[in-house]
Amino acid sequence: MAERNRVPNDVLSDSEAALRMMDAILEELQGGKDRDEAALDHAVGQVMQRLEAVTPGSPDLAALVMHVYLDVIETLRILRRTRSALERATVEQVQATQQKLREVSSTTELAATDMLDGLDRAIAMVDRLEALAADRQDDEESKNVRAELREELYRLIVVLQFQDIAAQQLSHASSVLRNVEQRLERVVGLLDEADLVSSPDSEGEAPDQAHERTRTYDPAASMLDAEDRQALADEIFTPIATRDR
Amino acid sequence: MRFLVVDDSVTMRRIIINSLQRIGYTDCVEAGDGSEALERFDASIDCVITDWNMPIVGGLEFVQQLRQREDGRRVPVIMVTTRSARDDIVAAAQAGVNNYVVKPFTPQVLKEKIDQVLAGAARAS
Repeated sequence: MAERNRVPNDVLSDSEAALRMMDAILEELQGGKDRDEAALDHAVGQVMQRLEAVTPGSPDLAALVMHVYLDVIETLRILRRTRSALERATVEQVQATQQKLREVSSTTELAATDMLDGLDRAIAMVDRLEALAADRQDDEESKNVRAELREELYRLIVVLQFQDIAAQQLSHASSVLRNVEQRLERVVGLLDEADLVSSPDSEGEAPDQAHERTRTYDPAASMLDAEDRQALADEIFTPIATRDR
Repeated sequence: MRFLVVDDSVTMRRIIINSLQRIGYTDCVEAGDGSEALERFDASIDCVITDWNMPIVGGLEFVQQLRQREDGRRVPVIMVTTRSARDDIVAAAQAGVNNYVVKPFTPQVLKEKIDQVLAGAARAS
């Protein structure tokens, strides 16, 4: 009976020893994030030697543990490459794109302000032309041209509403990118062993939900179909607007 | 006739004020958000034109707070905003907004809405 139990007990003992060794090697690998490929190959060679030492009578077990070990090594390599790619995408590409969007928004706002200033000056010039014309009984044609010019300048001022709407659309695009960035950061965090245990932050609300309450733009802002949208507002508001308060 | 124009976009405030001037209203007070608007508002204001999406205190919350004040209970309020979903428009009406203009607007539409609310206010007083 004792003889029959010896082989399973040896296998169990060898397995425990192999697992303890795996554990130590994994810890070593996690601590050495910058370990290069050659160092990993060296570590694989060492593992092979140590496996042969702890499992002398169980070549199948040694082969199995070695197989698992190599799988783990490969998985860790893939995870490191993934983590690095995600970090590059998060830090470099997403943030750079957000910066570009902010730049576009700021530039269009400055340009719109410059245009409004210019249009105000142009309207003031039309005013001066009218004042001058009043002194010398200008002809009807000149009067009409000045009136048309004034209307055209006013029309251009109204057209500049595009800047406010475009700024809201850019804010929305930037918010979507911020959301993607936060989610990528969480994925990167999950690839760090320290973050595998869920933190209070990762159990909290999604980034887009948190942003929803504080946003200062309309994600559906559009220059299109303004008349149809105004008609819907009129349908609801005309009875309210026209009644006595 | 004195207007309080509330919008976080400087461009939009200028466009609204310019439109008001074109239709004959030259006396305007400006505010960049609802909080500033609550500070600037007083009994001299005859009509409020406000945006919805703004920092600190948004347009809807501003109107709700204004309606709780004795001096702001009856002042006509027109919301000028890009928001045009039915639920949003209904929410604005429930908050105490008197008329609603969807951006981008034309000065003609703004004038029409101002005329409507001022006529309603005149009949009530």
